[in-house]
Formats: sequence, C-alpha cells, structure tokens
Amino acid sequence: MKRVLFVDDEPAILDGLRQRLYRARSTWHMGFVTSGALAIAELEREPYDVIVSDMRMPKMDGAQLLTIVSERWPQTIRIVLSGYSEQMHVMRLVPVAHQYLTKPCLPERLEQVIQRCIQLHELLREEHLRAAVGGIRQLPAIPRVYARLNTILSREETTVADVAEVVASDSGVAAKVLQVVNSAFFRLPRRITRIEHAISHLGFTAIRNLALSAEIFSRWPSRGLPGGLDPEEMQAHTEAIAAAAYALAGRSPWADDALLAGLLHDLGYWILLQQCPKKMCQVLDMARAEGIPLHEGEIQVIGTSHAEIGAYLLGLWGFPYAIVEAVAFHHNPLCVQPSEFGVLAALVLAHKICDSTALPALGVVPDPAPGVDAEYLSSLGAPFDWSEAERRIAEIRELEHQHD
Amino acid sequence: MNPAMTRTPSEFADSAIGSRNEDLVHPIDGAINSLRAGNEAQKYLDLLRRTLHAMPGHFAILDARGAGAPIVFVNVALARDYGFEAAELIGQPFFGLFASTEDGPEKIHRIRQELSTGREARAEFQAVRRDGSTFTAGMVFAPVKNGRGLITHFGCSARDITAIIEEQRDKRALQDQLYTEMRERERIAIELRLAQKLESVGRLAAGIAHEINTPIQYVGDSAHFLKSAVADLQQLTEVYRGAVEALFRGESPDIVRANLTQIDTLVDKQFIDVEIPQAFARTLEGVERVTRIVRAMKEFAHPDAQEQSPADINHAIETTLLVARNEYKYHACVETELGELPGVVCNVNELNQVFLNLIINAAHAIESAGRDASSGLIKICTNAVEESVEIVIEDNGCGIQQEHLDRIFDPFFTTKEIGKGTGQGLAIARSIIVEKHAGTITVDSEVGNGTKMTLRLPTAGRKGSPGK
Repeated sequence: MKRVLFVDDEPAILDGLRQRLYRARSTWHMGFVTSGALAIAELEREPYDVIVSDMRMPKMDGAQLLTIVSERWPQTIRIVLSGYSEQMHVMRLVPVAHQYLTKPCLPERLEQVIQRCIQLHELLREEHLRAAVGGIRQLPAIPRVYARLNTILSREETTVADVAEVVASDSGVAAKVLQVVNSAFFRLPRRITRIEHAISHLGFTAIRNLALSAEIFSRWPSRGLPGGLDPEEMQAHTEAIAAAAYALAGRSPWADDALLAGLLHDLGYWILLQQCPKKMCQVLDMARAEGIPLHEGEIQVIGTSHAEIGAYLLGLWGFPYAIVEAVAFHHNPLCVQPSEFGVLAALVLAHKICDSTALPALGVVPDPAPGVDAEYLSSLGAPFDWSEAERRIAEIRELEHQHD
Repeated sequence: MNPAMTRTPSEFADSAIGSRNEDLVHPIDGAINSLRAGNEAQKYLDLLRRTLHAMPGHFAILDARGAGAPIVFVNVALARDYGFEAAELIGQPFFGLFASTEDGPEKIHRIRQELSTGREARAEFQAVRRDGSTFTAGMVFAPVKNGRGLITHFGCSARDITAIIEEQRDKRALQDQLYTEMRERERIAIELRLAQKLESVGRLAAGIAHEINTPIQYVGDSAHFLKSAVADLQQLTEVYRGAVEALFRGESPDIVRANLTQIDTLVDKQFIDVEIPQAFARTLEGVERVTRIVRAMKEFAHPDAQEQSPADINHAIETTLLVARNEYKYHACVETELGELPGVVCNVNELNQVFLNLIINAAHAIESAGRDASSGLIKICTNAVEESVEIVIEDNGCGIQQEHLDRIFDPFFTTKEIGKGTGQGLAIARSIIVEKHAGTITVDSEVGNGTKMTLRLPTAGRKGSPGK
C-alpha cells in the first residue's frame, strides 16, 4: 500500500483531510502530523511515498522540512499545500518541492495530484532510481545559456521574446520555468505551455532569481561532458526535434505541447550525465562497440533509459500527461495503445525523420524506431502521410538553415 | 549771546539761498560767499556743507528751472558713486544721468509732475556710472520753495540700494523655497501616512487571506466528506432495506447475513458514525471563524469613521488582534488583561492602526530575539486612570538599543531590514496619539528583555483637553 504523509500545524486542516480522503484509506496508508519534527520521526519509523506539507509552520517550516526530506528520503515525492503565495516563499520551495498546491485546494485536485505522483512509480520501478531523480535539487544549465540570460536580463531594451529564446535554448531552464509558472502559487486560469507566456507571467525579476540561482541550476563543468558529449550539440538536436514536432502538429490544439515535449524529451540525459557520469561513459562505449542505440545501452547498464528518467521528473513537476507520456515512450511508442495522432506520435515521427537525415552522433547508431512508419501514421488517423511529414520537416530545416 | 546763534537753521537756509541769491546760477556758492560776511553764519554753513559731504547717502540740490534740473550741489558720496568729482557735476543736468536708461524718461516726467504740484516724489532709478556700469538708486525728491512760495529748487536724497534689492530678492526666494518645502513636506507626510496605511493593509490582506483560506480548506474538506458519507449511508440503508425485504420473502438468513457482511466491509460505518458529528462541528466552527475575521476586518478598516466619537477601546484591541493574528501567531502568544473602560472619544480607525503598528513591532522584536510562539509573549493591558484610559503593550522581544530610543518616533527611522518596514509606524503612532488625540505615548525598553509601550488617551478626546 502506498504511503502518504500530511503535515500541517493546524489540526483542523488534518482532520478535514483525513475525512475527505477517507475513501482512499483502502488504497493509501495515510499519516497525519502537526509539525516538521513529528514528520521526521514518522519518516524515520517507516518511509513514505508522498509527503504533503504546509509551508508556514512554527519552528521548522515547510521548506526546511522538505529540504531535510530531499536529503534523507529522496525517493519521497514532495508536495506543498499552503495558503501563502508570496514569491519569497515560492523561490525557497522551488529547489525542494516537486509540486505546489494552494489552500483552498479544489475538490478532487489533491487526490488527483497524489494519485498521479504515485502512478509515476510505474515509470521507474526501482526505488534507487526514483531516489536518484527525486533527490535532484539542481539541474545543469549550459554555461553559455547562463551567461546570455545574465546579460540580456540586465539590459533595459530586452523583450519577452528575447528572454524566451534564451530560456528555450536550455531544456533544464525551460522545464523549471514552466514548472514554477504552473505551480498553484500563480493561480493561473489554465496551464501555460508557451515559454513566452511563462516569462511574461513571472516577470524578469523572477526569471532572473530563478535562472541565475545556484540552488536551482548548476553549471556543467568546463572540462565538458563524459564520453565526449557536447551539451551544445545535444541542445541543437533537441531544438531541431522540437521544431519538427511542432511543424508536424500543424494547427492542432496540442501543438505547444508537442513543441515542449520535443524541447524536454532528452531531459533524462542531463540528469544521467549529472548523476552517474561514469555509467554514461560505459553506456556510450557499449553502444559504439555493439552498434546499438544509446537508450538500449542505458537499459542494459543502468536498468532504465533517459526517457523514463526525464518523464519521471517532469511527472513529479506536474507537467501535463501528454508531455510526460511522449517523453517516457519516445523510443518505444508502441507500448502505448495508439489512439490518435497526438504529442507522442508527433515526437517519435520527428525523432525518426530527423535522426535518419542527420549523421549518427559520436559513432552511435540512431534509434531505428521499429514500427514508426507509414502504417503507424495511418493507423493513428494522421491528417497527412509519410512523405508529407518528410516534406514538412525538410521545409522547416530549410528555413533554419536560411536563418543561420 | 550773538543774535545770529539764536536763529534756527531753516531761517539761515531761507535767508541764504532763497531770499538773497535766488537768481544766481550757483546759489549755494553765492550764499556762502555772502555769508562769509557773518562769521557765525559762515561757520554754520561750513558745518552744513561738511556734514552733507560726510554723509554716506547721496545728497543733491537741483535747479528746478533749468533744463534737466542742473546740479547746484552734490555731496561727495553721490559724486563718488557715479564716478565723478563733485566739482565736475556742478551745472550738469541731473536727470541726464538717468535719461539713457530704459524707463528713465518716463520716470523723470512723472517726478517733475509730482514735484510741480508741491509734493515730494520717490523713484528707483537704474543709475549709470561714468564707466557705463549701473546700480539701483532709491531716490526721494522734495520741492524747495522761495520766500514767495515759488519752487526754485529740488532737494534730492538717495542711496545705492542694489544690495538691499538683492537681499530682498534673496529673502523672497528663500521664503518661496521655504514655503514650497513646507508644502512638499506636508504632502509627503500625507502620502507617507497613506503609504503606511496601504503597507499595513497590504500585509494584512495577505495574512487575512491565509487566515480565511485555512478554515475554507477544512470546511470544504468536511463538506466533501459529509457528501460521500451520506452517499455511503444511503447505500447502506438501501442494502439493509433489501435485506429486510429478502428476509420477509423468506430467503435464508445465512445468505442475507453474507450480503450484509460484504457491504459492511465496503462501507466503514464506524468511521462515518464517529466522524460525521465532528465534520458538522468543524464546518460550523470554520464558518464562524471566517465570519469573525470578516467582521473584524470590516470594523478594523471602518471607512466611515472620520469623526471622533466614543468608542470601546477593548473591542478595538480585540478586533486588531484578530485581524493581525497571522502577523504574530508564529512568533508570540498574546495575553490580554482588558479592564473595564469608559468610552473614549476618538477616531477608532486611526487607533486601530496604532495598535496594529505596535503589535507588529512587538512580533518583529520577538522574532529578532529568536523566540517563537512557545516563548514569545505579547501582553496587552488596559485600565481606566482618572480621566483617561491607559493601554500597555508589552513584549519580551529584543528590546531597543539605548542610542535608538531618542529616535524611534522619527519618521524613516528603522532598524528593520529593507522591505520589512518603512520606519513610519511609530512616527504615525505618535502623531495619531499625541496630535490627534491629545494623548501620550511612552516607551520603556531594555535590550534583551523587551519593550513596553504605554499609551494614554483622554476619555474626552482632543476637544475635551485644554489648549487644543
């Protein structure tokens, strides 16, 4: 049985939650405690899968508690449920909380969020992997992006579009900006998936605080990545895929999600390279020696691939299901019951067409993506055929070259 | 005694200038010549001349009948200031000295007209020195009549008033500046008061949102629970009714019991039975809590209370405590000893702001002392003392440094970090208590032990206090 711990200094809140969630007692074991210290004692007795904490509490506040939890029980998913929305608090929570909910929380919302977090366990079955991803407080940011953000944010004539362009050029920064803007603290009427919108909602000061905070982003070591990988090249690949997925989505309502899924689909690489660089070297060597795609090497060496790792983190951060799904299954889309042409299909199609037209990177063969073909496309009822897909991608590549 | 000595100076002057030498071009010189005959008169005239020359002001006698009023006599000061020797100017048309300036001719015309009617005339002239530079001369002209009452000469006394004019101009500029600054200061004071009010309202709004969100959260949760509990109970009732009907139909009690056991495992009747009364109690309590906060907020920022009218100070303190709860609850407990008080004529709206500022200060001081709600204490006592009420707000916070005590009521003085206070709270409290309510505010503080603020308000309000 999954275990959920609630922490709030107001006993009435805990009683209310205990009653409201009484039907969930058959599926979750729930603990209710009134302080940070009691929460830690409870976790020491037996770890929990999810912790839902208030922010302002006497002695140890929510941010302090979640910091300790992230260090000692990194596999525990950390959710904040608070009546406060001052930016000061939000910034303190950004590195340690996976999701932020505000009081009063809409009916069913809390249950949904907890349920979805628990379901994410299906993506990463192994506890040590969940702990590795769950314990992440910093994401690596490309140094050039860091420097450019710093420069343009201090210029007066900078526009939202300028900042958006730089933010979009680093998957980690983009993901974090979207996570924060979509946290319940900003009380937006609907989810934001466009980076421009996120930036105009947050404002430049918040973006600066966020993007340039050493607690939220770390820099890649200047000596480069393990295995001769180049963050700039990886990012260029990411952007090409994102543009292709967006072009394939056409004018559908999920086009922004497709762009975002493209931008974030390799987030898992950044995490793996940061968390276990030695194993990644091993993976690269194996992939080159055996002529297998990178993600297969990852599964053999690590037990899972960058796809699941990235999707798990995005899921923890509350990204929409379509994006999490697309990222999780972009190397084996056939695992998902195909229903219609959507974000996942656009992403795998973009991946296949781009990879087959680009040179294989660093002597590793591209993902052959078996089953992603004309038939797959027509079975999903895509509004175009394979050659049209190729034409659309060729068209945007042409445009990009002109741009360069 | 010589008879000449008994004559008045004016008789001398008249006889010397007017009667004997009235037709001479240089009447004074003529007069002097003729007076040389009489030793006493001579001495007197000499004295007169030397005196005029010694005076720092300008003095001139002008021939009223000549063109441009030819100079009959000038003293040294006048000649020197215009850049001449006195002798050089004799016979020159006096008004010629001013004719070249812009409004000179016009002024000259006016002066001559006034003089011709027998009155004195005043004017300020831009006087031109020999080297072309100018200064401002303030002049008084008087007509001088001869024995037959005819105006024969003009007397002119004048002085260089450039410095005075500049001084006046400076003074006026200074006055204007002072006035502007005063108005600016008043405007800033008003704005600051408003800003402080907005600041406290802004702080409160966030705190109150939280104070309301908390009960709303658990009221919502409890209602949500009641909804599902009722649905479960309905289901249970249906199943039991079905069981009763089945028994009536003659079905085997064992099968019926098995069905009931199954539903009993699905619906936790025991949990529902225990929790339903609690859920109702919590819902009602939460609604009551929200109502109390909303009512307190409304009273706290009573928009109509502009006038001073009798108010219950204890109630005002309770309202403020309720509204500001979120500002202190993490740092301190509040203890109140509210004595029986007469109504105090006051603007309760303003007093609420004072109480709020003092309570927030106390909470901040306790926070700075590193205490939390388990050891931090804010104590509020009220007492009726003679014709006034006394309100004491005491904390066990960090206290105020001795060297800061003199300055805590100064506007902008703050020891709080940026963003935590504008330094207006106590300045405004003082102004409201002392100036608007004829009360007093005193502070006792000991570093490390805490601060005690004592307010005294006359029950009759400002109007009842003498001298206000």
